Amino acid sequence: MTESIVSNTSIVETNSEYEAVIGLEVHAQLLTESKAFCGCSSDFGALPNTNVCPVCLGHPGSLPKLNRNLVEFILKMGLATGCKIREHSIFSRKNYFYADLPKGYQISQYSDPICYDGKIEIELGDGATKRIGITRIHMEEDTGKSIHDLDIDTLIDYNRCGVPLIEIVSEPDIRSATEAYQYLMQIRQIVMYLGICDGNLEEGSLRCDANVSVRKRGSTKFGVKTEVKNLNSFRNVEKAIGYETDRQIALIKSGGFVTQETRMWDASSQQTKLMRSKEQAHDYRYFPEPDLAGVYVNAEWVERVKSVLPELPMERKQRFMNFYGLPRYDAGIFVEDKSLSDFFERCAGELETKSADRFKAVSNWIMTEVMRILSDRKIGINELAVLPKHIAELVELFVGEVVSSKIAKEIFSDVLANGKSPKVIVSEKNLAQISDVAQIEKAVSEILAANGDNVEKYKAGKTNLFGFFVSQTLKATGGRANPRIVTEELQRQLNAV
Amino acid sequence: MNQDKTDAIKDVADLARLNFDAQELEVFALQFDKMLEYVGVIEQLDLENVEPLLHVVHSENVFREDVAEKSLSTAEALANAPKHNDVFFKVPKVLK
Repeated sequence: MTESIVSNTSIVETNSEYEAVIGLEVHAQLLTESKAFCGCSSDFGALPNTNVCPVCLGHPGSLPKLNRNLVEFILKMGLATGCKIREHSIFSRKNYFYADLPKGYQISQYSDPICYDGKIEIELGDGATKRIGITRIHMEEDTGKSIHDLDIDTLIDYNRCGVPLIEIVSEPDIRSATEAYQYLMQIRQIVMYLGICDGNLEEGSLRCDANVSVRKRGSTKFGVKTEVKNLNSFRNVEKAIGYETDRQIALIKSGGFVTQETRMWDASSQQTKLMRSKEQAHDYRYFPEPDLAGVYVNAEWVERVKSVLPELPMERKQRFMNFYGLPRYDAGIFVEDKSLSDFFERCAGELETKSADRFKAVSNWIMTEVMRILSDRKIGINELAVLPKHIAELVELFVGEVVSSKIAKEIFSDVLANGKSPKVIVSEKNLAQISDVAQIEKAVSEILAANGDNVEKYKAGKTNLFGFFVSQTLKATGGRANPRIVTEELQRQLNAV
Repeated sequence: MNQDKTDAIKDVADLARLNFDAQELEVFALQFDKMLEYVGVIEQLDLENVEPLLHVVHSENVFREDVAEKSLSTAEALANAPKHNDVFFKVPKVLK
């Protein structure tokens, strides 16, 4: 899940003459059990056309009925992003003909959406934050899925038709492709923390369209915007917006002007391509949906949702830095994946000695050893069979110099393989580090005595033999001698020769 | 004047995928005129502070609980489709 930021030095970020003005429209597919307006399952990946009924198939005479959780979930998102909640809101019909929408209209909210006027904070490098305004968040239904390349006809699966979505529309506050990336990342984290969406861009549970325009820096007037679609990964969001701003600036610089149009990101050619111009734009003839009652959200409902809002990613990140003393980098890595940050907290909670250096040691262990295994096995932390208590034990064993970090890694493999406690493994396999000075003194003097020729070479100036003595001593003790004490003891004895 | 009206009707008809000939459009223009005239009586009233009526029956928060129920079988779902392949609905290709 950790995807590094694509460094995309578009002209905008390096050219001071022009700046980009970007607004994003993000659709999030909600994790409800059933669809927005009927009782069909909203399960992803069912066999085609098995989760369908007269309502979502648009049969005449069928009537929609609103899923309570659609309102519940959008209220969570609205409150998590500081939106105002509209007491009374209604649904509208957005009319257009396309085979993935059998009713001939999409049920959506048009004027007066339920959530409006919110904000999301994004981080810009070194912890500076920027506020991106949220214009509105509204409820709507998803369309079916068209398959164009399997048959001479287009094939349609209506399982997804009627699955609830929320659309989050930002203010045009975003000024670069990198800021757009950060904003989308924040939305993804927030919906995942709220448990209302699985946040998967590649599978389409989060979808993003961008409105992009450019203007002379310092100007307060907006330039003509284009809408860029098909941004189905974080990488594509950044690349497409970077490309589109560069394209517009080049166009203006060469004496041309931007026309209002819809463009599509083509990942294979790494370009945005014209989909339709404004003249061909749809006239959706919105009107109030007569088949659905309005939605009334009173203060009591708002308060109840507020009271169950979980800690949000930005808050958690701050807490990890303040409470555990973790560096911003570590906190950022964990918070990106809620389960991983939960796991860190459980491990930290199992430490016998709770101190900043041990918290950091736990953090290091998870970021290196644990995350390496997760990425090798392509699994999430919840699929890895390891107890937080065992991670804490292991970290304390090597921070307390009971075992070396090398041995600790071997123990970790054992823990993963058989689920035994690290302490038990240490005593069963007699792996405890030897820190007894007398014992190490003896081992060192034996090694020096057995390697008289090399001791002479060392004294004659071949000091790089020191490493050889260290490794010989460690080998003689089965790798268990405390390397720090071995080094000290070798220095002492070699100096005395 | 009348041309503007028939153009407007034709635009809406196009959006609704309906085809009418010139004569039909003329008839509609006359009929729409009458309807608008009839409804236009309302404009005599002062409606400054009156909210639009969206429903005759005022009701709010008619919910269903979020529970998945049994859906149609695929065979039932496809039964009325003009064209299908027992799994998918089939429609004329919309993309080249």
